[in-house]
Amino acid sequence: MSATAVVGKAIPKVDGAEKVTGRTVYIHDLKIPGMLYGKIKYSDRVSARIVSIDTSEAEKVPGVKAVITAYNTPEIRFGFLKDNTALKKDRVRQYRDEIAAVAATTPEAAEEAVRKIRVEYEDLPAVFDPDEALKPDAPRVHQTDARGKPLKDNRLRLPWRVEAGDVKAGEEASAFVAEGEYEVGWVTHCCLGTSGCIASFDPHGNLTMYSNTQIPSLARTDYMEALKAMGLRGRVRVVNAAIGGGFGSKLDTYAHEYIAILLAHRTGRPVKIVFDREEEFFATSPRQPVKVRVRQGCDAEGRLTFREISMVLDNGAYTSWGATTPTVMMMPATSLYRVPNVRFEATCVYTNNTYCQAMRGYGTPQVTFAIECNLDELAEKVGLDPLEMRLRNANEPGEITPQGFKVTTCGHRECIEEVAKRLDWKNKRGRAGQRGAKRRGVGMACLMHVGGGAKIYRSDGCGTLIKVDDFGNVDVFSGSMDIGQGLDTVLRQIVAETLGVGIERVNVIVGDTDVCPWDVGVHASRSTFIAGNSALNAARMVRDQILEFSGQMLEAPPEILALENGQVVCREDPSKNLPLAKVLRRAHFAKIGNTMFMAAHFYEPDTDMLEGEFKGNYSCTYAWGCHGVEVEVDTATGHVEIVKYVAAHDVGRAINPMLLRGQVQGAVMMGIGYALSEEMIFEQGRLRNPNFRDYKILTAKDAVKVEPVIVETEDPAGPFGAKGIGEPGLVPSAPAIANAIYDAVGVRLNRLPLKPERVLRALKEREAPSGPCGALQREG
Amino acid sequence: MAAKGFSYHRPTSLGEALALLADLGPGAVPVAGATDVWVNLRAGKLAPEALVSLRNVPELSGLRKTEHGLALGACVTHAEVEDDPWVAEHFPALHQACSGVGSRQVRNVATVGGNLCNAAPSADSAVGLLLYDAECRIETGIGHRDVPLTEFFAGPNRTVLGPGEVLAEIRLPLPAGRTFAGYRKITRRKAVELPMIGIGARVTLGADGRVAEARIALGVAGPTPLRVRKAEDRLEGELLTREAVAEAAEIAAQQAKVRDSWRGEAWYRREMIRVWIPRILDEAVLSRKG
Ligand SMILES: Cc1cc2nc3c(=O)[nH]c(=O)nc-3n(C[C@H](O)[C@H](O)[C@H](O)COP(=O)(O)OP(=O)(O)OC[C@H]3O[C@@H](n4cnc5c(N)ncnc54)[C@H](O)[C@@H]3O)c2cc1C
Repeated sequence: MSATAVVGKAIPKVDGAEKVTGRTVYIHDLKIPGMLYGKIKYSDRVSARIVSIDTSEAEKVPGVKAVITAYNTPEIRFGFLKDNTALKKDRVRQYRDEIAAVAATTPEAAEEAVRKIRVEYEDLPAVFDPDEALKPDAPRVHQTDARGKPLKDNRLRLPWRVEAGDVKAGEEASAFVAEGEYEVGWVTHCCLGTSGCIASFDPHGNLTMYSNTQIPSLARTDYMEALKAMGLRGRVRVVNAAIGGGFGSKLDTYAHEYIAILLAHRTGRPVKIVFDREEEFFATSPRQPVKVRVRQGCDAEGRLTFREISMVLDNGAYTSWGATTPTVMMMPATSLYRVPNVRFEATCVYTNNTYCQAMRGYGTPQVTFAIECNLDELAEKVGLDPLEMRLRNANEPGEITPQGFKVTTCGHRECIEEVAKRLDWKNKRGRAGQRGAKRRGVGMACLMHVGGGAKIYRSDGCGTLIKVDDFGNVDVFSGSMDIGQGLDTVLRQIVAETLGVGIERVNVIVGDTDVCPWDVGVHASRSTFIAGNSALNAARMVRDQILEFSGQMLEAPPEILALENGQVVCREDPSKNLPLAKVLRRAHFAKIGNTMFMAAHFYEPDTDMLEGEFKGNYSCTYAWGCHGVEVEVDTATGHVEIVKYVAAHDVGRAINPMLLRGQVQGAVMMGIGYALSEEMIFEQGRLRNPNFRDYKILTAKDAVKVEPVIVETEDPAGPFGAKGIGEPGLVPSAPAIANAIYDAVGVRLNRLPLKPERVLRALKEREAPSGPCGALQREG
Repeated sequence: MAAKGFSYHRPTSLGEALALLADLGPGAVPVAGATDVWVNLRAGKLAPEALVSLRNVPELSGLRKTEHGLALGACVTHAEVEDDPWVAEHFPALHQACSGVGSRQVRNVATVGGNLCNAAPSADSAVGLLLYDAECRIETGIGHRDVPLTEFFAGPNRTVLGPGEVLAEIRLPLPAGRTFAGYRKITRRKAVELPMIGIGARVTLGADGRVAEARIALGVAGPTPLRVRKAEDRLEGELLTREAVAEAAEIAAQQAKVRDSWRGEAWYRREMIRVWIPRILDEAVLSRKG
């Protein structure tokens, strides 16, 4: 590994002090002179025709400046399939449908006015179960697509299917086959900072959106389209406040943003809409529920022969970018472990449930739960230790997977071995002779994720602009965003390293589309890799400019010069060393110079956007990992306690080990919540638990001590060898825990969360299929 | 959002508080830690004309150890109980119940009196107090009356407090004899949770080694926190055997009016009563020995 001064060092997050002292400015803190407060009237029905809307009483509330509905504003269509509108006309399809909105001088007046809006509905049939929704006589959620073309059923017209090799032949060659059905429900991002924005028009009709989006550049395009729909021709600028958590929740633009734009335009004043906690729960889009069927087989030695996966996703009533998660689920489906013959198929279905979105992992937590639980079942059929099963099939460097992914560096095997060692797997697996109510067991599960961007959009690029002042202070303008993951710290490290200056010299500016270059967005664990490479390249260009000029000054060839410790150093003659600041001033002011050093670079990874057959290589490199867990199951209560948790990740190289551990620790907690406790409970489309009392996100007291193991494979494509790590840390948690529960008490749970009631029910049903709770036929 | 339209008063003596409540009339609501009041205000379930804060009323504060037992001012916070080693030793089930409420931040302001007056079926400290035969002193403005806690609750979120009345003090006699007690709330996570079912048990042994007093109390097993007399009867006068405890637990499980809801299933709530009453007593016996 190359020697570095700041890269690879555990440098605390640069925004840490600001955050813990309460100085960070979130969207909630922002106020603009003359600003009004917007509030949304949501549907009272889950599926109905809107007969009439009476806003007359709302308009009379003192302080109210505008009340809008779909009937007095231009239609703004948005979403991945443009099947959603900012305000709903004629028909509602889910409880969170926006029917009207108010702008008022105080939030209280806006709330009061919203309460006074009267809507008359005529109920229509609704459908909540995706399997039901697929039946021919199911109530139709949409009659037509966005263009008005009639739809004949609730199935989304999305081509999520990939096949490679010969599945049939693979199956015939199998000595063992395991088959199973797995089910995961809704969970939500739970950002501490709720969603919100301020829309503000200048007198020329130019829009500034103060926002907390994860996709400033794409959001700008969306808002421009909205202006067009409104018949306006102004410019759009997106300015981000600090983001209090993203996790995929802000990967799209949403109705409340368009409503703020409509209200701002109607009133001629800036309008702020910020969600309260309940809204954040019910009016943002959760991770999709999925039912997955897996069949996979292996030969007599446990080598995988084929894998077949089909799944049904509950899309909800409208379509976000989250509907593309199957394009990423395909990756572990076809390529986690070496499987020659694979088939994957996903069906997204409209229902009258809340519409879904991507959430950390972009579908891979759902599909990995199915694959990794099923793999343990297959190992059992073979009579193989699941550890051995995994080692036998682990991915290898240099392999090209059936779907066409090019595996360059790969620490898969090493991650598995690290977990086995640290968990004392050989001694702890399959412990016999346990007595008493509490039984222990160990389990593991692996992951594969994109580690070098993901070409889900037509461009996976990011731009960076760097300028240097007369004293060696560096400004880095990146198209990417810090959403709490630490990008601003990592970019500082990369640029500081390249320009040989201290990290305190480097300033990172993000989140303003008037100032920063284009970027596709903060998702897919791509920012350190893509924005990092972009910044690295721009910094190298600036470095070369400085060295070129220094060469002229020192009459030395630039090749023997370098930037280190704020100096231009001459490798062959240290007496020629010059302070960087002196070179910079000379370049700027002296006759020979009259120049400032700056450079811009747009980094577009050399990868494929997958379409049609969905084959190719959509990431520059892939991230690998293995989680191992020891659990203690209370067989009398069904309660699962985590005794030990090891998370091994191939990260290429840790640019900042402290932030990396933080990412892993935080992600594992999210993964454990997904596995054991979190669930959004919808009854007939209505969210019953839109608050932190009833939505069981884990608390600080539930925090588990996680042992992160950093496996460094130094990826040649990554900045200083790094791969992405933002999402991987939660992907294998649920299957690792489910597998450990099986080891402890011998019951398989194929449905998340693995809450105590479910565990206990499974235990009881095994003992007495018609026993005390077997008779109670409530949910399983 | 902030609810509006009420006045806020901060009396500094009990007399002043009672007078204010009387003057302001039925639209005035007493408030202590406001951890229930504020939630209800925000949800629109409560729209008072006036809030009368009891936090600066010295007569309602403080934890007093008397020769007979413990007297808790109604405004004693859960954190005060949590931090008191004497309470932990002599009233362990109450201590456990109070220490498990919400989070430390909530316990720092939420009062024990507020927990009783709010009268949620799930009230944790109420179950702890039921185990120790707590009695409530109610100040009426013209005098006071004492009501056993078993008669204090009138239904979900309802008590026997009349308009203008204030809960002043909660008194608990010290159990006479060797006592084992504990409280367990069944939750999915370790903090900021209301119980899916709250389970408390106490046995006090007489000189003959038999159970002189047995108390089994439950939360979320009926419209109010409640005692299960039939289960208690099964133990009183008996030796504290595993069989007796298991049977008492079974009776409690059968008697509990648990419900199926999206917060929890009835069979599971019942099963936890069965499992935890013996465990609570086991743990209490073990910790006394150790
Ligand atoms: C985040 C959170 C977590 C919580 N977790 C738990 C939990 O785990 N377990 C649990 O049991 N509860 C829990 N609660 C509920 C609440 O904290 C408790 O019920 C608490 O004890 C209420 O006390 P308070 O002082 O805040 O009461 P307040 O909100 O001030 O008052 C509650 C009610 O009692 C009345 N009142 C208060 N004091 C008197 C008095 N002296 N005389 C007459 N009337 C009075 C008020 O008028 C009001 O009706 C939680 C609440 C929150 C917000």
